[in-house]
Amino acid sequence: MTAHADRRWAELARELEFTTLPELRRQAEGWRTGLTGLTALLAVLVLLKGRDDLTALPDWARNTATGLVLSSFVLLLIGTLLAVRAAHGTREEEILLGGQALRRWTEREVYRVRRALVLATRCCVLGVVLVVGAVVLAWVTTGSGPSHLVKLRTGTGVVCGELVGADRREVTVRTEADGVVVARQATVVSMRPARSCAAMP
Amino acid sequence: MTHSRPHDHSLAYAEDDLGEVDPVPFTQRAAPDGTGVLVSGTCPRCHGRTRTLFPWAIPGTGGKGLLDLVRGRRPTGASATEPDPLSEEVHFCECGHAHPQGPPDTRYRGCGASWRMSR
Ligand SMILES: [Zn+2]
Ligand SMILES: [Zn+2]
Repeated sequence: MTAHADRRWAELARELEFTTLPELRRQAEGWRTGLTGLTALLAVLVLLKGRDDLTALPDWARNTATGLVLSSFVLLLIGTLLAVRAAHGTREEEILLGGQALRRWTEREVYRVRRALVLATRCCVLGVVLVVGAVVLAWVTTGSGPSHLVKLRTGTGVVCGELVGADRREVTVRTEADGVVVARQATVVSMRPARSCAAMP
Repeated sequence: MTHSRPHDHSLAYAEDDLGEVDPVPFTQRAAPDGTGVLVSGTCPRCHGRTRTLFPWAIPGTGGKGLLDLVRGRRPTGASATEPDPLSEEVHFCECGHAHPQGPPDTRYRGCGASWRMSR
């Protein structure tokens, strides 16, 4: 470290004595902005939660998608906090302000900010990947089967499929294997909701 | 001895790096109002009485890493140990006299000399 650099650090340290309060205010503003962004993120999650799209999914897919969305939210939350921290700092305990102390503190801070930025980037990328994964999963599994599945037992056998209609005379079920099946009410032994028609006996 | 010589007011301002000097004429103690640590002694160049306050302050941005915060750990470094500006800092003459040919806006009002303390 040259004598000239030492002098620059010392002069900078002396200037900082007079900028501590404005600096704290600036940090507070930065955190406020960052937390406003987090609130927006929360609002998006609440919106997603409000939609009932996921109820049409099979259990395993719904649980997986929910897990993905929650993990991604946590990751985005951490990423945002890390980014705000990197940009604006956190509340710091005091140091004995001299040129050399400031130089050492700055070296540590540069390292911490870099690490926070790398972590923030990773969290945000991974978070987005997880959300995309959840959406893709929901897309793929929702398309695979109709809702309102019923298992219809008649005098002649059992059919499973989507309930199309029922009136006083007949029950109509659309099945994958046999197409539309119409059963007269008189032949119906039982009709129960079914989660899936995959495990037909 | 150097510290018994009179303050040389006519000495021209110069940003001299004096290297390591004898720490004997220097003392450091907490400032009476608790705002920092006061290092005082005799300037090895102009022989004036010099006093420098190293204040407690919050530097720039930053602080504990988020991970440190989660772990509840204090950051390591200067703040973890008792600060020792006498031996850790570079010192600048603050005899308070505006030596001739000095810059009008220097942060250290003195003869311009700087030095470190040998242990
Ligand atoms: Zn002097
Ligand atoms: Zn001097």
